[in-house]
Amino acid sequence: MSIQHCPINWIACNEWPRAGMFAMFGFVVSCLLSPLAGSLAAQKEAPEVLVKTSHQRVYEGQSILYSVTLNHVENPSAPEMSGLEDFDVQFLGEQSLDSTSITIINGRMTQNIRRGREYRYRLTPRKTGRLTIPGPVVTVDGQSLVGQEQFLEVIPADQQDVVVMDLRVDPPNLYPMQPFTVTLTVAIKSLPAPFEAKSPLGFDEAPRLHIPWAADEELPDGLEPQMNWQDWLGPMQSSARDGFNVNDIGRNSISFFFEDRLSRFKPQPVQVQLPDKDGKQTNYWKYEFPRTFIAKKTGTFRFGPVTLQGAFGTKLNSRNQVIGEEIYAVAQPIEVPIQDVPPPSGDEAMLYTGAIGRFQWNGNLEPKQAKVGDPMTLTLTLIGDGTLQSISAPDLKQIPEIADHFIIYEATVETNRKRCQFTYGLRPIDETISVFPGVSIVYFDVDQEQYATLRTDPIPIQVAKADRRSEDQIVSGQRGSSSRNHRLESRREGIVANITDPKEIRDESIHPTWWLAGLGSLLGAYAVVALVTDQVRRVAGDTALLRRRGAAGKARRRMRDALAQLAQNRTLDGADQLRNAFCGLVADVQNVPEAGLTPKDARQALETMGLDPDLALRFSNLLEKCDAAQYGAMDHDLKPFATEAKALLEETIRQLKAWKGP
Amino acid sequence: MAELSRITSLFRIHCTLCTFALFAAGCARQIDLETVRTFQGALQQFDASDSPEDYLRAAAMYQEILDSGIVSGTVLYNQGNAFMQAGKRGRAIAAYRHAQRYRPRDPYLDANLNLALGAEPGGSPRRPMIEYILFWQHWLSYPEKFKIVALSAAIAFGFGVCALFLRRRLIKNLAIAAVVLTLLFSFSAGYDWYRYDRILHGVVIQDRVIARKGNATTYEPAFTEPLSEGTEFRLVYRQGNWLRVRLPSDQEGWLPDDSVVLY
Repeated sequence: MSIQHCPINWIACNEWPRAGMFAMFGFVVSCLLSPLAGSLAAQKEAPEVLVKTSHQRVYEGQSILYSVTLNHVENPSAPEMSGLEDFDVQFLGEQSLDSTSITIINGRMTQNIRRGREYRYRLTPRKTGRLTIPGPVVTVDGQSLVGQEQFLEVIPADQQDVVVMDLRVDPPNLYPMQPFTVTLTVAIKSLPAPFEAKSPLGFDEAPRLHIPWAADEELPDGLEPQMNWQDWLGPMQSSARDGFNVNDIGRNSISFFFEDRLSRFKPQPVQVQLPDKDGKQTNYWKYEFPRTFIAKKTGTFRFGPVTLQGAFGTKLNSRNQVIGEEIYAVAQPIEVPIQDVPPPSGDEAMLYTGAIGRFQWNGNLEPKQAKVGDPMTLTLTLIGDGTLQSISAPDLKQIPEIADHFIIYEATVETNRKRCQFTYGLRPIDETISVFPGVSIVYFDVDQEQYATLRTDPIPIQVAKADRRSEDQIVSGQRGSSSRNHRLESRREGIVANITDPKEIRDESIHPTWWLAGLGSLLGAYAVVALVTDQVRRVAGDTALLRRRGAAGKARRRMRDALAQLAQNRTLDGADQLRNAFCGLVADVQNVPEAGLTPKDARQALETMGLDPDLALRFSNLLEKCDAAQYGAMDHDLKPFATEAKALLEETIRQLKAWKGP
Repeated sequence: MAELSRITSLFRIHCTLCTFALFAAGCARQIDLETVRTFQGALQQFDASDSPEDYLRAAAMYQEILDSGIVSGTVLYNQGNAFMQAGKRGRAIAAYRHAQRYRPRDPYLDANLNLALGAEPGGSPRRPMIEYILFWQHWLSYPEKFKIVALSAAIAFGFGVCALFLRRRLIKNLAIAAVVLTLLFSFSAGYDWYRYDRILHGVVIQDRVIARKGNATTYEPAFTEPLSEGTEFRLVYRQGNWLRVRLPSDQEGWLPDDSVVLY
């Protein structure tokens, strides 16, 4: 489909940001140039009120930006905006224009001070024609200053039947906290044949729809959307070049210089037949934008006007191409009154919880089998659309069927958007009850516009007698037994009953560093045990070392035996033991066989081990004497040598201890 | 061999000392008479209370015990009850949650906590996978886990030393099993230490507290709705009088510190 655009008379272009930039630029220039006129600026200037509008002509339904600037005013106050009955006025904010600068020229210092404030408003005309914006009144130091009045020409929307827009609210009668839906319907005439099956929104540039209530931050106080605008419009976003742009959403893109980056939104269309301006039934594509709100207070909320501007295909040219016609359409605003509910009367007042809306009411009791005194939990749940935030829990103590059989603890309330849950702690006080009775509440039914009663179903339960306890247990319980059974018994009084036994108090604080130190000690101890054991085993397997370590003791024992035998005149045996003591010492220290060790070998071994050569010689001589005595070559007794032999052995052992080993 | 037996005897003594030292680390401090008097005074105050202010006085007496350095599940549980009766649901939840670390198998504590939370009976919050693996995590108390670590470590040590001398496969296997048990419960205790001592938890104690996107009231609300009393969170970090908190849904926001209680 090819499209030709007709020229349009674009009136309400958004010039405000650019104007602001120029103003800022002018201000900066004036600040820079101000030193030149320092002496003049130092004089106090008269207060003034400047008024500015963003546009002088707008279409019906469009808004203008209106600013009031107070110059040279020390303590400004907001201007009185009276006489604006023809407009909806929305205050957009205020901005300080105070500034100070100091200039020094040729040693002369001049201080320039500017005092001012800007107040900004959005004005939406309520009617068409030439409208007057009265000058704002500002009181400065007890004196009233009046700004200049402005004029605005509001052009009525085109009389056309290409785009038909309509607003409606459902349900019509509303109460606070009752959700309601405002639906914008946009009906667009089908394209001329043979393109009537194609979407009428497929032009290059998306039609611009301005829906005032699509901007969450601009909603009036006391009105809340059910979902934010992103969640509301998000599902309608169209990736194809087909749909409306809403409130210029998507314009802030770095690439908008190169292509149209306005997001497009397209609700699912329905093809319907509507009468055109001649009354003839004509095919239209109908798009609906429903949005649900909740009014949190009574009063009247105004929705609209909604404006739509864009090109729509209305006819074909000679080449059978669709020609677009620029259309500006307006949906007239609607007012939504929120009324207060009538006061409940009689029994309704007793059971009324403050709920307004449409609800379901459920109850559950767990466990359904219990003993007297056991904790039970009753959960009552109110589910539905309506006022769930401020309702109060039903007072079960006012229901004799419940209060006579249960101890009732205060309810906790948990509320979210669609659900309010009351949780009660109960304890049966006797076993005579078999059915937990239904609990009733009254709410205001917004569909029926009257109070309605809901009742939970009765719940069959089994309550048994509490366990009997032996006298011992009761007595020990009263003394403060710390057994678990007693603890349960002593806390039978209520679900929030305390632990009363002081023995239950323990300091249970944890010091991880201490525990780590303990574990580390154990690990260290194990490592030491393992190392020592290993060392002992290694030593136990070294026979040379063992012989060397036992050499001295063994030699002394033999020496004692030898001396004893010599004392008994058993010279041969004594000489043999004496020789064994000396040879054994050398053999054990050297880890060599003892048998066959000659005096020469012994002397050599002792010298090798670094012992005194004289000692080695005496050692060798003593061995030779022993051999001589043993084999009868010695003509005298060995007794006189006994003392010398003992001293020689001790001297040898002493020197051997200094030996470091092989 | 006589030398070996002497060494063994010395180390037996050392081991015994180590084991005692380990258990001594977890032994409870003696509760003095003054603390018991304060506890009984708080009980009497609770029983005599008939207004929220009275119950708050009882809660303050329990706090006095806790401020003296004693950590007791019993005191925390009773304090939670006092807060609950005083209508301070957020503070009650904090006290019950803290008490749960020391009294995990107390059915009354569970019931009262559920009552404070307004939760369904038997309902439980989403748990991380690790708590399903360490299935005993919510059954054993925080100190019990440390005691099991000590016991299993002592058993492992005993069997380990025996295995050095007796060299029987059975003893060696028992020692390995005890070591595995020690490691497992050390991890379990360490996990508790991390989530209880390293991470600060908190509860909102005022109704309709607005969580902000930054640490000042000038920041926009972080969530579409204010937080209600009893909302639980984990502290991410503190900056001045503002706390950056993470809700169980992993959303984060800033709360003024006077609207919450940390534990």
